[in-house]
Parts: sequence; C-alpha cells; structure tokens
Amino acid sequence: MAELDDETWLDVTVEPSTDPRVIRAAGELDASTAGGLRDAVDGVAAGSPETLVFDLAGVEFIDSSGLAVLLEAAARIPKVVMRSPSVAVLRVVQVTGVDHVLTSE
Amino acid sequence: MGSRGGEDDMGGGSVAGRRTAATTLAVLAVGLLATGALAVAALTARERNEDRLIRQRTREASAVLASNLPTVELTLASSVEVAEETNGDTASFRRLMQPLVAEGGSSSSASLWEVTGGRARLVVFVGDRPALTSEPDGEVASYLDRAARSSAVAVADLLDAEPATLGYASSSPRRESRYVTYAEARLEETRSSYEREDEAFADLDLAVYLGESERSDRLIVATMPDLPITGRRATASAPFGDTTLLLVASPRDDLGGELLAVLPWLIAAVGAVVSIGYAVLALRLLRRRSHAEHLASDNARLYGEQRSVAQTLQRSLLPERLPAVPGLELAARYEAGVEGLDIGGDWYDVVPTGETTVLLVVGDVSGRGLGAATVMASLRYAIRAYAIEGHGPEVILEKLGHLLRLERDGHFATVLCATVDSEARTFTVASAGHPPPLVVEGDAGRFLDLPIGAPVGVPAEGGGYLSRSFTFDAGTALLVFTDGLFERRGEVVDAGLERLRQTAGRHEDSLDGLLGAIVVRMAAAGTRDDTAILGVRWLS
Repeated sequence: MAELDDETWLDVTVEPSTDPRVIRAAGELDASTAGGLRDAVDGVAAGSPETLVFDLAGVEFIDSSGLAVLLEAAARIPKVVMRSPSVAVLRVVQVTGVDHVLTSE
Repeated sequence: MGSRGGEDDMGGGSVAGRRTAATTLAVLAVGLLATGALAVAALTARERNEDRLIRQRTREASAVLASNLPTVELTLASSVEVAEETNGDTASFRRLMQPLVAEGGSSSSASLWEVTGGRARLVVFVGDRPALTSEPDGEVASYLDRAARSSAVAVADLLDAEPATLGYASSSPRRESRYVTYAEARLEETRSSYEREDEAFADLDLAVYLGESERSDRLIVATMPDLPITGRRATASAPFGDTTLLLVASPRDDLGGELLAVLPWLIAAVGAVVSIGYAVLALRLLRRRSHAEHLASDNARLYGEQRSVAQTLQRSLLPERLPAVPGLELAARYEAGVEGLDIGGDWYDVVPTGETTVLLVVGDVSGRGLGAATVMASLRYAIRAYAIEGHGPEVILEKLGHLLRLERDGHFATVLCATVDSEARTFTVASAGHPPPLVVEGDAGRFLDLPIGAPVGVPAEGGGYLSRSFTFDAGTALLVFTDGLFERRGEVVDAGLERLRQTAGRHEDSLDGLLGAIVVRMAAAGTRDDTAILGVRWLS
C-alpha cells in the first residue's frame, strides 16, 4: 500500500525530426499516465509517419491502459516497433498475446 | 453519479447559510435604503422646484391680469373729464363711448351718471341698458357715491345678476366731481371653461375670483370646470380697481419638464436593480466562499460515496450468485482496488450450457470508468448469448472480436473462457491475452500451458483462437483471475505469477476459503487494481 502515496510518473519525449519518428518513455505507464503518451502519439501520427518507434527502455511498469496506447498506435501507423523494451514491458506484451502486434526492433 | 450543484449545497439551516442570508439581506437593505434616500431627495427637489415654478407663474399671470384693467380705466377716466367739462353733454358722451360698446368692444354698456347729495341719476347710456339699474336704488346710489369719492375705479359686483356682470365706475379726481362714468362687462356664460386664445399661460389651469376668497359665486373666469383647483397650486392677488382679484393657478403638466418628473422614479428603479444586483453578487461570493469551505468536508464524503457507487455498479454487473451445478463447487471473489474511485473493467461469469457443463468466464477491459464498464457489460452479455447457442470457448472469443475494436472504442479486453464438464471432469479453455488458469492439486499449484491469442479488440494473428482441453481428478481446483491479483509495480509479471502459484498451494477446506486466503495473502504485497477471481472444483 506504500505505493499509494507515491506519485506515478512517466516522462515522455518525442525526439525531434528523426526518421523513423521516436517517442521515448520512462517511468510507469498506467491509467494515470497513459494520457501523456497518447497525446505524444497523436502529435506524431498527425504527420502520417510510416514507422513509429517506442523507446521503452525506461518503462518499469505497464498495465492494460498503457498497453492500449501502444496497441492503438499500432492500429494507426503502418509500422510500430518497441526499442529495447524492459523485461517488465516485454513480458506483459507476451502474456497478453500482443507480441505479434508490438514487435521489438 | 450524483454530482451536486454547488449552490444547492447550502443548507438553509446551517450557520454558514444563515450568515450568508443575513449578509445578503444587509447588502440589499443598504442598497435599497440608499436608493430610497436618493429617490426621496430627487422627489423633494422636484417638489420644491415645481412649487417654486407654480408660484412664479402665478405671479406672472396675476401681473398680466392686473395690467388689463387700465384700458377700461383710461377710457372711463377720459370720458368723465369730458362730462365734467361739458356739464354732462350726452352727445359728446355717446361719441366717445360708442367704440367701447360696439361689436368687439370690451363692454356691453356704458353710461353717464350724475351723483349729487348721495343720489344718482342716469344721464345717458350707450349699448345695453345698464344692469346696474336693476339693482335697488339705495345700493346703486351708495356704489356710485363710492365711485365719486374714490380715485380708483370702483368695481360693481353684479356676478349674481343674469347674465353675470362686472361694472366699473370712474370719477374725476377733482374734489367737486358731479359725474360718474360707468361701464359694464358681461362675463362669458361658459366662464368656468374659458377657452384661451393666448398661449402664454397654456401650461397653467387658472381661476380668477373677485375679492379675496375663492368662492364659486365670485368666480370671474376659469380655464377648467372642476373647481376649486386642488393639488399643486398657488394663489396671487392682483389689485383691481378699488378691490382685488384672486388668481388661483395649477400646473397642467410638470413645469420642470419630463426628466425632472421621472427622475425620482428613474433613481428608484435603477437603484433597486443595482441593489438587487449587488445583493445577488454578494450572495454568490458568499456562497462560493461557503461552498469552498464545504468542499473540503464534502470531498471526503463524496469520495466515500462515489467509491461505493462505483463498487455498487461494478457488483451489479457481476453475477448475483453462482449457479448450483451438481458435482461442482464454485466460488468467486471481487475486490475493488485502492484506485477504486472509478469503476473498473474486471468481471467474471458462470453460464450453464448443458446438463453437466458450465462456461467459466473471466475478463478484464483495459482502462477504467463508465466506458470500460459499458464494454465489460456488452462483452459479458454477448458471451452468455454465444455460450447458450452452444459455441465453444475459441469460437466465442472469435465472435467477440467483431464487437470491439481498440482504435474505435478505446478499449481492449483480455478474456478467458473455459467449458467445465462436471461428469467428464474436463476443462476446455481458450485465452484472449488473458493470464493462464492456476491448477491447485493437493497443496501444489501450477499454471496451465495455453496458446495465448490476441486480446479482444486487437487484430488476431493468423488463424485466430485455439482451445485446449484438460482432464482432472476429483478434488482438483482451477482458478481463473484478472491481473490485479498478481501484477505488482517494480517487478516482472512472472514474479507475481510465481508468488500466486506458491500462495495457492497452501490448502484450505473449502474453495471459497481458498479464494479468500489467496486474496488476503496476495493483497499483502500491495495492489492498486481491481481483482476478480473465480474458482471451480470437482467434487469427489
């Protein structure tokens, strides 16, 4: 229960003008932080990129809300890949049966 | 849910409510008092102004009135001088006075009288015979004697005569005068509604009386029939020969003009509106402050309420009780997580599908809130329908894929379906991205190895869902659950699953007891998420 008092945090960085586009996230990707990542995805998707890379090396936790943002991006952008996902992220992706949608570089 | 309007929260009986009401009323009272004072001041100023104006206008009117007399006076005075000079020559008198009584002249009759030793004798007259001659001789003599002695024009009051008449008599100012010239003017029959020709005093209603008092039988002329004049009025006396005229005047409209007249009412109306406006403003500000004070305490209560509303809604979407199936023990738990302000998307269900079979369902819709709950409810009822149609778990999951699309609905769902046969002790299971079932045999736990399909709402890979069948001994328990049970921050999901596996291995007598123990033990590791857990055990 100690976690309740801690603010959940997630840093989201959109790397400027890279090709492919890269969004880097670090922290906990859950219901309370997913909105920030979704905004970043919306911004990038507006440019209709061919490929979007999620750099998830710093994501220590992901729940279904966070996963939903990644999966939605995969539905909108032709190619979405994860870059160096943490084991925590990778296992959730596998256990949830979406590793065919969210592949790693 | 009961979102409450901010201003409705003010209990009328509360101390803050009374304070608010008192302050608002005070603001309103001060505003209205100030308005009233201003309006009264304006009204008073206007009254004073009107009074001053009517007095001034009345004096002007009386001056004009007084200046009308000398015309007659001058004619009479000159003719009496001629009479004295000519010893009462009638021809001279006629010639001189004829214009006075002619058509358009001011008099109806003019006459020359010889007054000697207190007696009066009519010498000659032009125009009509003087009405004065109808009066008693004594009174006529007395009047003409007065005229002979007076240097001013003597006015004869013949208002009671028919027609009402005024007489003017003039004598020479010489000490030994013998003659008196006398003229009469008939008053208009319609003298109480005299139509004025000049516009000089058109803004006044006027009444002119002979003498000092306002008696209706002494009325000479009035511009209105409704006498005496009431309301705002002023009086003035004007010298009229050896007597006086009383002039009474009243304004027809506001002498000071429209603006001055409406100003007090304007002030009152605008002031009242402004006062009410300020009172309302004060009320709002006070309520807002009071509301803010309430908010802190309300929030705590609302948090509790809303949490319980979310939980009530959540539970209403879950089966009220599990069906009784011969040969099977069924148990279920639902635990709201500490983030349980919003309704979660976890659910479980048990659907009888045949004589000896039931479908176990457990699912978890991504996200929280009403959207997630709606998706959850629609999936739950769709699954029941598909199950009753006789479809197997993998077909049900396949069909659910048509109901939900992540990019359209914003949610996806992990779902696990399993057909349990109470007699054959078979367990046929398919998973759409859901954590695997936990098998508890004796005091050992293990997870079933399953092919994991994509969650509902996410495009599946290739051939869709696969189900796998298992057969178990009597006494074996199978647990299906949502990830809230084992998922913890700061660790890989496998660590939570392993902890669950070890926890479940400790034996409990009843299935419900086992579920309760698992929930308690797993919760000790800390959870934020809602948790649904459903168990089945074959009885021996």
